[in-house]
Amino acid sequence: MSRLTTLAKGVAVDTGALAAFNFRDMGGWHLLTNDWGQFLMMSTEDFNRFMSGKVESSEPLYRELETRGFIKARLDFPQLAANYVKKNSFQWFPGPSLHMIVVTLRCNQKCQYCHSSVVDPSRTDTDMDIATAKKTVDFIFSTPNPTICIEFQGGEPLLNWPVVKFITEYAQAKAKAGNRKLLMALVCNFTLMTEDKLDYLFDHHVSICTSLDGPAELHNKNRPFLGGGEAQQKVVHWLERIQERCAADEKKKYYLPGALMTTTRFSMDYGPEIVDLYVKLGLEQIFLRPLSPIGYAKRVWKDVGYEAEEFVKFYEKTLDYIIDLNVSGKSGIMERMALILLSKIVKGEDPGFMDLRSPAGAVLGCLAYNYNGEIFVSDEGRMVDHQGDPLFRVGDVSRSDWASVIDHPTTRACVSASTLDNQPMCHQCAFKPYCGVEPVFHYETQKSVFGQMPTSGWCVSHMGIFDVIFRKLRDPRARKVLDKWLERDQCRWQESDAVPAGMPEVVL
Amino acid sequence: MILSKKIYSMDAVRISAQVLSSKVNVYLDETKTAFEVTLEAKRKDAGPEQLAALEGEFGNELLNQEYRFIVGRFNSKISALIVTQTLMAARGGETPAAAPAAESTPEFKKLVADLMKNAEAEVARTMPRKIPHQGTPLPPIKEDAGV
Repeated sequence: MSRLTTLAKGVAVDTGALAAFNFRDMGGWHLLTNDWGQFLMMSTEDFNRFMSGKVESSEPLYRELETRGFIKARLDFPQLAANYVKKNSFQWFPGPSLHMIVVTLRCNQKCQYCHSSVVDPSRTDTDMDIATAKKTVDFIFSTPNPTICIEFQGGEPLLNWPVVKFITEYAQAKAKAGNRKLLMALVCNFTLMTEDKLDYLFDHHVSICTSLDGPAELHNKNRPFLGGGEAQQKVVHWLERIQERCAADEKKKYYLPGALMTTTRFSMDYGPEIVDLYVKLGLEQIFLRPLSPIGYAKRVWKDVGYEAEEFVKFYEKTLDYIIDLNVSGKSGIMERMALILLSKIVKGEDPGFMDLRSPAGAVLGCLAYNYNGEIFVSDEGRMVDHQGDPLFRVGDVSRSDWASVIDHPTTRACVSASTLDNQPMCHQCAFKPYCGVEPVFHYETQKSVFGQMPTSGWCVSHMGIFDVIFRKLRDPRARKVLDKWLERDQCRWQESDAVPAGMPEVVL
Repeated sequence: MILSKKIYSMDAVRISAQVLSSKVNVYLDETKTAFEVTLEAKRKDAGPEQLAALEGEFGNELLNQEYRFIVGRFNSKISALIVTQTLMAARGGETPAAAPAAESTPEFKKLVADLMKNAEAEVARTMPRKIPHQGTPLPPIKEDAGV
């Protein structure tokens, strides 16, 4: 059943005065948006007056409608076009900037939901070798984007440490030779971290991110060690240790560690406790991410998964808690998903989040490289391949060049399928200017890269989150907090741009 | 199922059959004005409720595909513009940029050779012995995984 809203019965419509827009009944008020990325929240009464052409040009509301591109005869095309380009800057990007390298599939943890399709630590056949690593870096530098971000993933990348080091140093040499901007990031579980490795990562300006699902009882249930045991204490130890070292050295302030949480069924009762732990550890942000039924998670969905509506409830409840902490002054912790959406909605900017773009970031914004040199449209596409379906494989670093990857039929299919103007429901949705669909997710859950939006869990959860965010924007108490977050986020980026000469860029 | 040709296209029927191919076999016949579709569940023990659900799923997918064609035609100009613009920009031009001159210098080549040599030596010194490829570690997923 469609989740779109229709006009109330009996509302007169004067289409002659209306520019193209989408709308949504938010319960007592209406949200209007357009392809320029502009939005307006208005009472249902005003909405009905607008629809019937009864808003007088002398009213303040008319001026608002006019400047935001909702009045057909009063469109300021140069300004609106500039807004469109700013919001959709990725449509002009010369190829992907994010390159995820899986240096091994081996892992020493057995996470309940593992997205990454890992294997036992004995499976050394799934380690990337040096020759493949070199070819992978060569391929990455053959793509045209002047900015390159290499992200080490796994498995557990620290299990193939020599290759992490080789890629880091070789990529840095190539970036210097070609005058390319290079950012490097390591996503690891921290259980194999040592002071020596940390020294190396600091010295080579590799930013660090880990997974922290919450308090020990939750994290260790979600992410146990292979063969049993507890992992959370090690994560907490290293988060504290890295922060200690960053605090002690001005040059390291840009390398504060990040942590990501994944929401399983077990997380649902732990919202405040998860946030409290992040606050206690001094983490600046928390990212309330839903679990995707992809890879290993698909096999155990009955045990760890949940309905999209349940996630939205969890999200709203936990976001409320975070906002309360901010209002009371107990913490300034920010929620990442909210920040991403606010950047799009309020600032009209693209925050570089691959999943919520039209077209999606697959190939256009990111590529994933398997341990054996195979190239995939995204890391999720690699996971589908791991289950025996090579649909999302678009090349191999030994044989392919960039042109063959961007011209690959799968690339074109993903781009076309994730363009929202081609999607039933999406093209009429009020959240279209800020949303996106993910072809791999829909292939995995609905057997088609296009998906079926009325029954899509992706659509339910994202529409739900957008509803929450727009409701918060209309609530003055929450709006104050959200505006503050945007301001702080802007300062962070400006600080990053002002990294002293000689210091490489860092991933924030 | 009798599907009017005035409403449904052969493409929509075929794509829907493909999308549901893991659950049903789809047999197709046609008259001048309609498609006659027969669905056969792949699960031999499917009861009346499951058969009705499969028929509903097929109907939903059929509507989804047919409506997708309509939306695609309606918005073809703007979507073609976006897709073309994005792919062209991402391609970065007709011919790939040449490798930077600095990479052809003897110093750079030596640097790379040293990096590789040191890395190979570290792998040999610190890593467990590499075993031959063992094949895909996970069996194919079952259809009723609950997603």
